[in-house]
Amino acid sequence: MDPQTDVNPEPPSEVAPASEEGTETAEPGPEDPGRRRFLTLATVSLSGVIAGGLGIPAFAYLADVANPVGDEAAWVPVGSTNLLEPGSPLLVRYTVRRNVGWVEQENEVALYLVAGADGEVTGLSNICPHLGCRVRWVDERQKFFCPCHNGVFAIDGTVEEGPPPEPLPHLEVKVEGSQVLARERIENA
Amino acid sequence: MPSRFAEWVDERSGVKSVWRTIFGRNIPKVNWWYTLGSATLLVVINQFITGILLTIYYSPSPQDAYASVEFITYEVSAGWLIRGLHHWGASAMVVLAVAHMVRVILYGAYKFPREITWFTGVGLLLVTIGFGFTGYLLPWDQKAYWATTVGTRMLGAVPGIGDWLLRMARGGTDLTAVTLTRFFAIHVWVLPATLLGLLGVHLYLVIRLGISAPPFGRWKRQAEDEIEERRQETV
Repeated sequence: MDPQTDVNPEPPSEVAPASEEGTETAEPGPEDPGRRRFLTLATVSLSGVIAGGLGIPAFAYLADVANPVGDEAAWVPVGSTNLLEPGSPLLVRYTVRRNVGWVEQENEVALYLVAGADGEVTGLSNICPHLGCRVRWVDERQKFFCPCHNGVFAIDGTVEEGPPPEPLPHLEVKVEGSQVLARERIENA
Repeated sequence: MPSRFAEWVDERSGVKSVWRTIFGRNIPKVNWWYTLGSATLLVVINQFITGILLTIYYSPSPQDAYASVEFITYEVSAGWLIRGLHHWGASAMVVLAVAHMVRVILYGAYKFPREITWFTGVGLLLVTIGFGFTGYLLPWDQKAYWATTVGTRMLGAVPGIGDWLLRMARGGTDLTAVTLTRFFAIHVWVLPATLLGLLGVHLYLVIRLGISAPPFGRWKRQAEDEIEERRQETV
């Protein structure tokens, strides 16, 4: 049988008869089991080395940006204590510049400043711990409401109703004179 | 050892006979020059994988392109390796494809009944050159910018429609953000799709027709017989 002209998609026989060249020469034919096993093993091993050699760096390459970078955040003035009243959280915003990939980007950070009766100021994140929507304070009802899935929080951030699994996170704030300073959340500290 | 899962899949898809047709086919005992096509194919696979990975961080805009390439090269883990493989793979792909073509010419392997294999191969070489030309612009550095300026300017030399061709290639009269995005689109969408189509036909024909025996030495008779046999079949 002419080896290279077999175009039939159904192979006529599992083991092809030795080609004429194969029988003429002294070296073992392609159907020699030892040789075949060796070549199969060599092919599979080499493929594995190539796949791993590319696959492992590829994973590192993709996973790289998933690792948080611990940038030490600076204290930023966000408001004056004169504006704060107990029982009325104040939404303040400030921008931070950060390097994201190859661009320097401005991010707006918002937080609620909550004044206690003793004059102590706490910072509450306005990001709902359920799925990340922004909560807002409704003065008449004296609650934080999340518009996405009806989460309700008390003035201290504790969950009163709805799906949020945990209270609103407390953020770092401090008072210096009449100034309130905040610093950016440090992700996955 | 056939697992039950393999049996289950095969019963419904016939995948084993496909596997046998591709990998279990008989080939004449030939020489190392016959591996150049497979070598080119391996580089093509490398280009697809590393190319997809590069698009994950690359940004095709004049403001970002160079910075994102720098970011890939110096900041991202193994980015230097992924980009390096794509960069050197591009050159290797041209070299191997041309070497493969030279083998086919010298062995007369393009002759009956393998003309269509040859035509698709020529198409694949043109696609490869297109990849090289469009990919060269993407880092958006001085070399890329001026090489593309010169390369697209050559289109302007075509009689009659030269000016129009130049503006089509650049997306306007100058090399701009529009040029960069269209080169990017051609590089990552148009050419890969064309390549896959041509490659599918090319490989189908290689498997259907079998590879040609070398036209010299102890294979000479065999090669002549084959051509004669084919001719008889089609008459």
